[in-house]
Amino acid sequence: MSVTAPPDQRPAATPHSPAPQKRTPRAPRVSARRALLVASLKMFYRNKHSIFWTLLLPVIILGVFALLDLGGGVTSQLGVVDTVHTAQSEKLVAQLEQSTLVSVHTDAALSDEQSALGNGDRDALLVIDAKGLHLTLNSARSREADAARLVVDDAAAPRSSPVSVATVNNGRNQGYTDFLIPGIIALSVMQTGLFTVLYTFVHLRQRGILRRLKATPLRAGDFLAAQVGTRLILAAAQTLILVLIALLVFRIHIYGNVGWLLLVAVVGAAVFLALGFAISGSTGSVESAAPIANAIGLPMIVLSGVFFSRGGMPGWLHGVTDLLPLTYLVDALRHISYDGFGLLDVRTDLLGLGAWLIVSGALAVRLFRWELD
Amino acid sequence: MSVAAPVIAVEGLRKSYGERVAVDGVSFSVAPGEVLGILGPNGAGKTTTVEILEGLRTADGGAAQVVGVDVLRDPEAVKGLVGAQLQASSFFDQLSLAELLELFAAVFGVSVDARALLRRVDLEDRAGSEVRRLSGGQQQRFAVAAALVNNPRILFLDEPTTGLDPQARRHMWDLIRSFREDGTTIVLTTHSMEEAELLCDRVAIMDAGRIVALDRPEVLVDALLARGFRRPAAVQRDATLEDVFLDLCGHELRDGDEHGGDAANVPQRGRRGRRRAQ
Repeated sequence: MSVTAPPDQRPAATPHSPAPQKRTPRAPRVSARRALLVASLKMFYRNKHSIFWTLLLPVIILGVFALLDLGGGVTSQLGVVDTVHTAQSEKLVAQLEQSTLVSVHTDAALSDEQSALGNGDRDALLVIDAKGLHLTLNSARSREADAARLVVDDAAAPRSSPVSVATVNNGRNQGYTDFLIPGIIALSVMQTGLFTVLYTFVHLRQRGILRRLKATPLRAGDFLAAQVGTRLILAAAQTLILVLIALLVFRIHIYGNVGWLLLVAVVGAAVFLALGFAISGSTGSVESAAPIANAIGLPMIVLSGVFFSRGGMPGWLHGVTDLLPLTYLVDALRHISYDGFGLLDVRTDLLGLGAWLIVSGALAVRLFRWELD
Repeated sequence: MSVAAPVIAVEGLRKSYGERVAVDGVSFSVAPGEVLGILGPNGAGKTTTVEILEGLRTADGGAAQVVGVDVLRDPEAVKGLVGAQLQASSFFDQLSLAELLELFAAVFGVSVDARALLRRVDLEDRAGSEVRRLSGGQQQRFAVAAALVNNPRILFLDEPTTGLDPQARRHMWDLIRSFREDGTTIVLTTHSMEEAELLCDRVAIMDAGRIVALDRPEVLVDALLARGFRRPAAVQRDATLEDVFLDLCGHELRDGDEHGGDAANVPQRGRRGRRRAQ
């Protein structure tokens, strides 16, 4: 076989400059990761769509739900402790239970109801004893407490039973927005992780952009590390923005440590990033990515207590949805923000997130594909 | 010319995708500074062969050495040593040409003078543009520039002129000639016989996964004539339709005419132009 080329066969040369590169002794893997991280952040900043979906949409959702105030206002929580159990008192309780303005709780003991009033689970507590009716109102939730007082007065009036009224202030004025904010943070963290990763990554692969990177010495692990790093930074920024807006615009109270809130949000982001990469590993086209993301994301949004408490769920569903990654994240964020818990108090949720992170992270690395054959 | 040790040596290379045999026992070698053309119809196995040598695909059998690296055993090691312009690939949006070259250089662990490299492929004035704003010919030239960031000794060009207009094609040919003059070894796949004749020291003609002929273009032509082949008289002319086209439209590049690429030439299109379909 001939391996030579006669020089006279060559066409005329065009002028050219010498090759303009030189090798440098930097550690290539670190520089590659850093360069990819910086480039991804630049691309994110320059992509107005991604800014909208990642940073503005959660704020808009928050605004809509807060304006509608879907969770609050309608019913107030009234604890009733009947210590006499006369025909008259039972009739009164039955009448209270008819009211649509209050939700009546009659099963607990006095001490339990008092602590429920103390921690904000009740807006008012009615105690019926031999001397008459004693109503204690939670002045921190005056709107709900007043509703309860109206209902109690109304029920007591025909019987001319005297109602003694006292007020307590548990120091908390938590409304629906306070409850909602941690849910919205969890929702946007999932959005950034699952939806945008899936969409962006499948898009990059479909257009052959990953294929081009595959032809370089870049390792898949370094590429993933840079992508994850970029999006963890974005998730932290997103959470910080939501927290600031919640504090400054919606005037909510965050009872726990904001630093822990951020930390948990970033851990949650890592879980959903890994899930997003794991799913995108085998997803061929942008057209199939959207239904897949919705099939996974929408049930979680509905079932994980983002907007409403999961308290009303049947027991089996509660048990199943306890295990969803979004449930762990929502619960941990809400416990910190709404209940003032510390990091140790939410360790069960963190363990749940950790388990999801290990499983989906392993899947993400295993299923990673630069291109689909 | 001395018979130097080949920089690419391929022996009995095989690759199947399921039942379909894409590369069926291919053997060839490429000398330093040589331009080898790989010709063949679609599905002949050209791209698969080249992508195995680039470290992009694994082979099922045979042997292949590229600049001393056993590609079958260590496909990752070859990636840093060669330059690859790929089919069906693209680059990130939202990054300028200069930023993309710097990113690729970082990935290779080298530093690059992005402007000088863009000047090398006549794209210095587009250094701040995104790839999707470029015309087809400009995109291909950028893909070649990206293949040069690591200053490779071997350049793989996979159909670099497919889909280009005659002016852009000729411009790419000039570019390839200049790399050849630099002493870069080039493996070039193409559907254009004219391109192969003009640029390649030798051509390998592939069909159904096999190399059916491998020699200097004029040797292959002489051999055909020696077998008694004569062109039908009707097409035996001194000029072709392409010569007519170029005579009427000129040889100069029309980068700015399509895809809203060059605002200076076509102000009526507006700054942003149209997004390319691909």
